[in-house]
Amino acid sequence: MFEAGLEALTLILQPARLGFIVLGTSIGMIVGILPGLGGAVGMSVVLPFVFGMDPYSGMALLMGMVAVIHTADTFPSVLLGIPGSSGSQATIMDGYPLAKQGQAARALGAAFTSSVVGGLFGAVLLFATVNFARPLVLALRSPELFMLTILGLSMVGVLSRGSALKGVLAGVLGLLLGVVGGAPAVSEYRFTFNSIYLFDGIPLPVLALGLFALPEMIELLIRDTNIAGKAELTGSRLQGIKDAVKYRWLIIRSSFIGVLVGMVPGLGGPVVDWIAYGIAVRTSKNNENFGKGDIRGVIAPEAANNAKECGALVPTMLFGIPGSSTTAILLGGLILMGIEAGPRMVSTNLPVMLTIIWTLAIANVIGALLCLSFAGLVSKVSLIPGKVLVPFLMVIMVVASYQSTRHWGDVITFLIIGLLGWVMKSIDWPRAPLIIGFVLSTPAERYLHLSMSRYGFSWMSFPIVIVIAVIVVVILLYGTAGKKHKKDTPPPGGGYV
Amino acid sequence: MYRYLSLGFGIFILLLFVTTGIAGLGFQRLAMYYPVTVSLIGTLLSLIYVIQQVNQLRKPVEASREDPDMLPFDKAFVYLAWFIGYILLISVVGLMVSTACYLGVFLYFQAKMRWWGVLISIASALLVLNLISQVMNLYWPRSLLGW
Repeated sequence: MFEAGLEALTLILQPARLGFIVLGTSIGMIVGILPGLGGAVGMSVVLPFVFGMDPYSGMALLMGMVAVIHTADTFPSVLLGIPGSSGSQATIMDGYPLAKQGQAARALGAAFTSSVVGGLFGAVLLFATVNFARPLVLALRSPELFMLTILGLSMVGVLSRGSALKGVLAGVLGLLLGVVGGAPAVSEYRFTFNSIYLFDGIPLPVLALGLFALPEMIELLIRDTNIAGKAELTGSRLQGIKDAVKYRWLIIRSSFIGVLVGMVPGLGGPVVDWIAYGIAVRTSKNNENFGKGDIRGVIAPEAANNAKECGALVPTMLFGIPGSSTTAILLGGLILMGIEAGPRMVSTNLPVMLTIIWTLAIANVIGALLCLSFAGLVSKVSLIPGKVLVPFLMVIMVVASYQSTRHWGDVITFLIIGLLGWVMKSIDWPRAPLIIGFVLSTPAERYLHLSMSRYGFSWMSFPIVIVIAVIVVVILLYGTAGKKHKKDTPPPGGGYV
Repeated sequence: MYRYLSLGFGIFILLLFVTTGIAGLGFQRLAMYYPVTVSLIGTLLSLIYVIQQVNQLRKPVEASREDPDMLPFDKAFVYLAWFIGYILLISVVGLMVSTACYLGVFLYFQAKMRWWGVLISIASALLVLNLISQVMNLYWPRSLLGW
C-alpha cells in the first residue's frame, strides 16, 4: 500500500499534473469566494476539459478544484457574514462577529490553518481507511442513518443560545420548509402551490443566502458604518495561526468528525460544519463567548468541512453513491476518463484512488497558502463603508441566487427568506437551527419511512441505533443542564446568527 | 416595538403551522405523517411562545426585556425598497441595465460618491460581472424586454 502510495505521489508530482492542480485550485478559490456558488458550478466549469485527459491529470484538475472550495469560502463567511458555500455556514457564527470586532485577519488565519490541517488529516485518514471503510459504510442501514439525522437535529438545542424555545421553534420551522416539494415515499408534491419551481423544494444556497446575507446587508446600511465598525483592523494572520496551533486538538477532533460524517451517504455535506460547531460548543471550557466571536467557533467548522471532502469520497468512489451534486458530477468526470466508481477503486484502480488522495492533500496546502497570502489584503474589505459595499453585494447575491435553478423563483425566494431572516435577527431568534432543520428534513423523513417499511418498530432495538440514541439523550440533557446554570446574553451589535 | 414584533412573529408562525397542518391532512397517507407531525409540534411550541409573549406584554415595560440595540424599522424598509426596486427593474430591463442604474443611483445619492467614482464603479462592476459570467457560464435573470 505504501509503495503504491509513493508511486502515486511520483505520478502527481510531474510538472504538468502539478500545473493542473494549481489550475483547479485557482478555479476552486474563485468559486469559493463568490457567495452562493457551490462545487457544482466549479465542476461544470472544469468538466468539459477533462474529456480525453489521462485519469491522473483529470483528477488533479477536478480534485484540485473541489479541495479548496471549502477553504476559500471562508472569505465571504468571515468578512461579510454570507455563506460562501453550504459548508461554511457555521463559520459565520463566530467568524463574522470577529470581523465586526476588527479581527478578520485573525479569523481568516485561524480558518485557513484549520482548513489545511483538516484537509491533510482527512487525506491521511482516507489513506488509512480506504481498504476497510467499505464494511463500515455498509453497516449503516436506514435506521442508523435516521438516528444520525436525529443526532444532527439535536445540535439545534446546542445552537439555541439565549432561548431554547426559540431555537427549537426555528428548527421545526426549518423542518417544515424542508417538506416543500416532492414527498420521498410517494408521488405527492407538498406545499408547492402548483409552482414548478417548488417541485424540487427550496434550494439550500438560496435559503442560506437569504437567511444570512440580506439581514446583514440591511443592518450594515442602517448602521452606516463598515463591517469592522472602526478605522483600523486589529489581530493578524499570525495570531490566527497561533490560535489554530493552540487549539490543535479541537482541529483534530473536528477533522475526525468531518471524515466520519462525510462517509455517511446522503447526510454529510451541508450539516457537517454545524455538527462540528455544536460539539465544539458542548465540549469546550469557557464556552460563553461562542456566537459572539470565539476563535474556536471558526476553527472547528473549518477543520471539519475540509476533512469532510475526504470522507465523502468513500461512498462516492467505493459505491458510486454521490453524496452531493458536486460528487455526482465528479462521478460523471470519472466516466469521461474511462474509470468506473466501485469496489475496483481499491483494487484495479488503486493508483487512481491514491492519486486522488494525494491531490486532495497537495491542493489543500496550495489553497491554504494562497488564501493565507491574500487574507491580509482581503480582510480590508471589512473597512469599506457599508453604503459602498452593499450595492455590489446585492448584485452578487441576485446573480448567485439565480444560479441555483436558473428560475426567477430563486430571486423571489431569496427576498422572502431574507425578510424572514431579518425579522428573526431583529427579535433575537437564532437562524442556525432553521438551516439545520431544513437540511435534515428530507433525510429524516426518507430514512424514517425506509426504516418503518423495512423493519417495523424492531429497528429501535438495533445496537448502533441505541448507541446513537444514548448520545442524543446525553447531548440534550447536557444542554438543558448547562442552560439552567447560565443565562445567556445576545452578542454585541445585534441578534444571534 | 421589540415585544410587539416578537408577538406578531409568534402569531405568524402559529398560523403557519396550523395552516400547514390542516393542509397536510389532505395529502396521501405516506406523504401526510411527517408534515402533519412537524406542524403539530410547531403549533404546540408556537402556542407556548405566543402565551409567553402575551405574558411579557402584560408586565410593566421596565420589568420586561427590551432590546436596546433594535434597529429602526423605517430605515430598514427604505433599504428593502431599494432591493425590491432593483429586482423589479431586472425583471423588466435585464441585469446589465438595472445594475448600472441601481449602482449609479445608490452610490451617488446614498453613498454620496463623486460622479467619476460612480462611473468607475459601474464600469468595473459590469466588466467583472461579464467576465465572471463568461468564465463560469453563469446565467442572468431573464427580463421582459429580453436584454
